[in-house]
Amino acid sequence: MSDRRWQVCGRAGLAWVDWGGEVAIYHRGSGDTHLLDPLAAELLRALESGPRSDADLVSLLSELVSPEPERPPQALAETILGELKRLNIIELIES
Amino acid sequence: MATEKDIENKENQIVESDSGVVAGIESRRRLLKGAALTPVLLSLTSRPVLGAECTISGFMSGNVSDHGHDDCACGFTPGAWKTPYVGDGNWNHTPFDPGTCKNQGQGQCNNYNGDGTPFFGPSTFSGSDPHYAGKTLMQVLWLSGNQDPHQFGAHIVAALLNAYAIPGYGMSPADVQAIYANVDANGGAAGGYYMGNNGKMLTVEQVVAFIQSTLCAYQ
Repeated sequence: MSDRRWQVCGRAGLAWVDWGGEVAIYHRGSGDTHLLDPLAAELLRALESGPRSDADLVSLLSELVSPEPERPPQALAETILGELKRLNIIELIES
Repeated sequence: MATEKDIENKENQIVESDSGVVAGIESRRRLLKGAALTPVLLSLTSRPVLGAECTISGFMSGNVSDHGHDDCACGFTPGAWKTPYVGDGNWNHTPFDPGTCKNQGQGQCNNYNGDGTPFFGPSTFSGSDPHYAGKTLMQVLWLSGNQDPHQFGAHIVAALLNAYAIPGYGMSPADVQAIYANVDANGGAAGGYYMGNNGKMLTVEQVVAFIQSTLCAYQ
C-alpha cells in the first residue's frame, strides 16, 4: 500500500445522519445518499476534516478495530477506500 | 460518530482514569469488530440512467421520469470524426478545418499536420489544459492513452462537431464550449470535474459517459 493521499470529492461536502452505529451520508457533489458501516463512516469523517494519507487512515483504523491477523488494518483500509472511491465519494490527490 | 480528533480529545479527557481509557477503547473495538466487510451497505443514486437527457443540465437534474432520446438527434463518435474519409463525420458541415494529412497508413490518414483549426481559439474552446495546448481539433481526436485522460478531449471535440453538423443534436456549440470551460477551470481532463449550477458534480469520466450517451453508437 503506497502512501497515497485522499480527499472527499467536490467542494460541497457531506450531510450526515447517525443512528448510533450505522451512518447515512448525503454527498452534495453527486446528490447520492449512502448507508455506511461504522468503519467506513469513521474514515470518511477523518477525510471530511481534511486530506489524509494511507498511513493516517491505517493508523486510525488500528485504533478502532481489534487486531485480526487475517484482516490487518491495511487490508481494511484498502477495502473501504476502494469502495468509497468507486462511488466517487473520495478521490486521490494528484501528486 | 467520532473523528480522529474527537478520539484524541476523548483520550485526553480521561487522563485521570487510565482504566476508563482502556475500557472506552475496548468498547469501541468490540463495537467495530467485524465491520467493513461491506463498507457501503446501500447507495441511493439521484442521477438518471445514462443517456436519459440531451443536455448535461438535464443529465444532472435527476429527472428520472423522462427517459429516452425522443427530442434530440444522436451524433457521431470521436472515431467517426477522426476518419472522415470513411463517410461519417463530414467536416464540411462544420466551420472547422481538420488540417492536412501528415502520414498515410494502409490507405488511411493516421496523423495530421498542425494546420487545422486549433483546439483553443475564439470559435472552439477556452482554457489552458496542457494536454490540448498547441494542438488542432483533429490532432486531439487522434491523441491516445495518457495523452488524453479519459478520452475527454476526443469526446468534447466530437460533441462540438456534432453540435454544428447534426441538426437537432441536444447541445448547441455554446453548450459544449461551456462544458469544456467548466471542466478546464476545475482541474482539467486529468482528475478534474464538472460543477453544475445546482451544486452537483460530475467527474471527467461521468462527463465522457454523458457525451457518449448522446452518440448514436452508444444508443
